[in-house]
Amino acid sequence: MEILLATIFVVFLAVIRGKIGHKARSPIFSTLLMSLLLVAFIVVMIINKEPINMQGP
Amino acid sequence: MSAPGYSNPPGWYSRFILEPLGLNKENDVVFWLIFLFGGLLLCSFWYSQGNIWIALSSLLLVSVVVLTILRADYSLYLLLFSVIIFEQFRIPGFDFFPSHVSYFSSITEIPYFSYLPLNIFSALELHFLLICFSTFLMLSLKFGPRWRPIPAAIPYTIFLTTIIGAIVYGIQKSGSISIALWESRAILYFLLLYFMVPQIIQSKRQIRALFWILITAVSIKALYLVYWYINSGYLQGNSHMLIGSENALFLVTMLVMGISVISISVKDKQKWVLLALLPFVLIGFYAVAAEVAYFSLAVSIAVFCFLVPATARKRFILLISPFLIAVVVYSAIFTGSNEWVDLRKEQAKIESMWKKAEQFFADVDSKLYQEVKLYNISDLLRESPIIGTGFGYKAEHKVVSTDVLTVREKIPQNQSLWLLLKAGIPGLLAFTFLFTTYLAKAVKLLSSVTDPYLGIILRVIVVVVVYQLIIQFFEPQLLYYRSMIFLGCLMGLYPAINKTTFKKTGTANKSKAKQNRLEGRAVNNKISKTFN
Repeated sequence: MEILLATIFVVFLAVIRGKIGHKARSPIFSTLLMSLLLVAFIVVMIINKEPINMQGP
Repeated sequence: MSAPGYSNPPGWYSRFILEPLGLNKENDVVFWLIFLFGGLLLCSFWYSQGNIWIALSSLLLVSVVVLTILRADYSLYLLLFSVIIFEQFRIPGFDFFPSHVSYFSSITEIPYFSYLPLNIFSALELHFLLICFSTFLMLSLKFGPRWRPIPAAIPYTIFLTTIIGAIVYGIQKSGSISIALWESRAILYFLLLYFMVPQIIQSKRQIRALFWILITAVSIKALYLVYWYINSGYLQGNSHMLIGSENALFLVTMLVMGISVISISVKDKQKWVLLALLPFVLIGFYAVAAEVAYFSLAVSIAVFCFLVPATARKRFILLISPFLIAVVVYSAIFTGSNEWVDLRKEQAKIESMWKKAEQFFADVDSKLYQEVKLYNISDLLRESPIIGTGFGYKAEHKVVSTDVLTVREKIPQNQSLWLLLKAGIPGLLAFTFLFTTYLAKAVKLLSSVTDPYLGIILRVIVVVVVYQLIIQFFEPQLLYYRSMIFLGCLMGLYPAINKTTFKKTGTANKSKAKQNRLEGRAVNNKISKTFN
């Protein structure tokens, strides 16, 4: 769920960058930064995944 | 060389062949096409000993080849139509007749073409190859379309490199080539169309034609879904495989387009067709979509709110409010853990439920089993955290024995994590980079688009990209050929919209400059007259 919310946040950031960002400059650096942060977050989350509860909730 | 005013007498070719058919030398290609198809039909009949279906299928194959070589754009429309109408997976209980066409299967699996030595290609891939050949031929001859740069070229190149790298790495690590290609095929299709569509679709007229094809194909599907929904006793998703299939993506596209034409005033025939079909599309979407699709659509609609012009935003919010209320009420009734047991009965058929540990081997769709997959992925990622395992490599899963499950059953629903596992951090990074850059560029272009129709198309593309980014957390969309091809087609329209917009703006600026120049001259003349 955290990964999904982080992705939605990044999607909105990309849309906002396109809408109100600097028109003359390419958005490539800001989107690269967003992507780096998102991937770093996903990697940390998945590597630290706790063992599962096999019995369910 | 004949003298002016004098023409050579018609030869035997014109006199005995073209004239009886009412043709001349300008349109004699018609004769050659008739000759080719007639000869082919005769040969097919002779070869198949009078089997009409083999003869017709051979004729169809050659027709597609001829069409593609003459007009690659028409062939692309045909490809998009086929992708929407046909199904990648056979769905039990869904007897829509085009679902039986083996467009995505290997050529040798199609009975009428089993004699062809093309067992590694599917009919779709042959169609791709033909379109690529025709387009590159036209580009090299500088005949028709011109070379157009693709949007977000740097992220695209990085993503393509990481995917190819992951395929090579997986095969080098004793992976299977066939599994590697199976796993990466949909992504490769997407990348191919993302590159090829800008070289084929280059004008507003072609974009409109593409959307007419899309509307026609999705309407046929939606109408059949409504029929199927009524026939199945108004049960939503009584076939598990239909729920969450790629059909929801096509219906979402049309739904968003319908909402757009209502919110933003545009004078186009497509508006009235979309409005007439909107109720069927809504019912079709309800019939095939699971809650995850509603959630993804809700996020996409929220993004759409940002993109609607300020003047149309109020109308859009008023229009969308009843639907949002209906979705909230529906979700509250059907997904809450409350006492509405009777109402939950139908929903229980399609929901992934928690299963007991001893049952999870049997039900690979259960929520618990998804957790098991995530645990396995995190375990594998700890072993190779940076470059992943590569495509085609059969990684040993810790919790589940590899003997029990097929490769497909090991793939997690969350495709970001699957991509992270297969192509490593560079793969996921390149994927996110490509999509976020594309979104930012498309939204940026939206502020310059003056044509209302192209504005709607660009908004639809942005919404579909967002929908796809969200839905791939719940469904293995990166493995579905149809959704990735569709996405590649839509995203590839950006250069045509960009070029049309700036061509118009450029013309507008030019005429404005000319007007200013004339006004300036008039003022100068007036000043000089005054002084004289």
